[in-house]
Amino acid sequence: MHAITIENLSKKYNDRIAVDRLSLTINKGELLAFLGFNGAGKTTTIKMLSGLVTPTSGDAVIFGKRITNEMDEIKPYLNISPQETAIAPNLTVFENLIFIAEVYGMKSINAKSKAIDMMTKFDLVDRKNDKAKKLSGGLKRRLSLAMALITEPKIVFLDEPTLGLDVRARRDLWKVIKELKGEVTIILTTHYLEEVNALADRIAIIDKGKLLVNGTLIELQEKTGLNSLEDIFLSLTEGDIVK
Amino acid sequence: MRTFVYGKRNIKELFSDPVNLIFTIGLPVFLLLFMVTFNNSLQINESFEVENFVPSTIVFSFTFLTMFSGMLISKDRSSEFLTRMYVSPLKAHNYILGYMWPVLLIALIQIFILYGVGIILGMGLTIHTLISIPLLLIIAMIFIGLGLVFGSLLKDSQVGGITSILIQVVAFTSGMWFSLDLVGGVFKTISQILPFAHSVDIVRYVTTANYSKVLLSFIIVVTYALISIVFAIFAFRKNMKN
Repeated sequence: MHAITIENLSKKYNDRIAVDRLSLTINKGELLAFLGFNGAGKTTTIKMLSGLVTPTSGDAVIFGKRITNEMDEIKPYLNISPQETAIAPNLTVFENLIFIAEVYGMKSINAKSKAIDMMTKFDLVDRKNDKAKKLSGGLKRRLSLAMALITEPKIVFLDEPTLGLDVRARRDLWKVIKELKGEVTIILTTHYLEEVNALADRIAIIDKGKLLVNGTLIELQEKTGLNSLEDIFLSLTEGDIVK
Repeated sequence: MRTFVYGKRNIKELFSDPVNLIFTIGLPVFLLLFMVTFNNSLQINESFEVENFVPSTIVFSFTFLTMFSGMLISKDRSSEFLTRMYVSPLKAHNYILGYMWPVLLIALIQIFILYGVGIILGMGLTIHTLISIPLLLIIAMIFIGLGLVFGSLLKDSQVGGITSILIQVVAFTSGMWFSLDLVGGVFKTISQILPFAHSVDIVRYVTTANYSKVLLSFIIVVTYALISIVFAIFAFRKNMKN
């Protein structure tokens, strides 16, 4: 079953085309990695799918609802972990989690119990009463992800979730993301190819707003005749479009 | 409910920083205590008499609401906290009211504390003092609206800069430190175009039961409050679209 069907989605800022007639389907419970250089259109695509930016043309259907006119009905099922950590710095870890759960309409008592579950899952229990601003970069990212998942979204957007993290923190976060696969549909943007290798069910390579190719790593290897994802990515973005 | 949840978070953010409390409450209380006591001894000028200086100190203290609410919104933008919020089911009115009511609550606390200090210093507590409270909250809306505008359009460092200018403008054009009649000329004309002297005048007139003089200043202040809020809603919605 398709969680998301993107139909000729475009975004134009004045004369610049950020996303150009993007069409793609994403299956329920799948992790799709968007790969591309800075300014390729990855974040703009996520912003359109999450209701942050209005498409110039085209549409996307998320669980049967159109983003162009039914976004209010889609929003309860979405969540995001943006590029920045996007946490309330002076609230504690526990308060941040309760806050976001209540914003999505969860009752206070349920929000508290869910927050405890998330702190356990994300190994944040011993930092429960610490203000978010005092956490390390890795723990902030973990909290950001916990905030994205406490609302039990059907779709979660992870915009460069491991940016700036050390190897240990990155691996810890990968472990958490792997556990989500199958339950939640995840759209991930990243510059780290090893992250894509480790996590993605399917890979969509985007360049200058256009979708160049999408498929599993094996499918991309077969299409390009290349073995490593880095070679595949570079060959495609250098202009050798695969037929 | 969502507006309340969002506002509760904003209160925690605003109150958890001791610098905010020092400026929004500590500094005005210190100014009031210091200047009124000093004036009692040296008779500097009538602006520092307790009945005159309490209203001007309250209006002056509202400038810090602009600064800290503006910085909070601006930081929420730069940290992408607002991005996370915009993906949530919250609506524009939840954000705008969720930023406004906590700051209005802080304004109310400022009013009670500064009136309390004023009463200790010899200001009379009458029914007119209580009548002035809703008027002060209308005045506070001018500053809250400005905070929303600055926070929606500027970086947090720019919010700090522009509100520092606002603090100076309010201090000099409100008649806080000296009677505007003493200066006169263009300075007095500009001060009367701006809402700050009218804000102080309204409170002085009401607390001294001089209601016949209130109307013109009241109309000017309400007009500024409405303009400020309309601009705030416009700026915030623009920020949401961007």
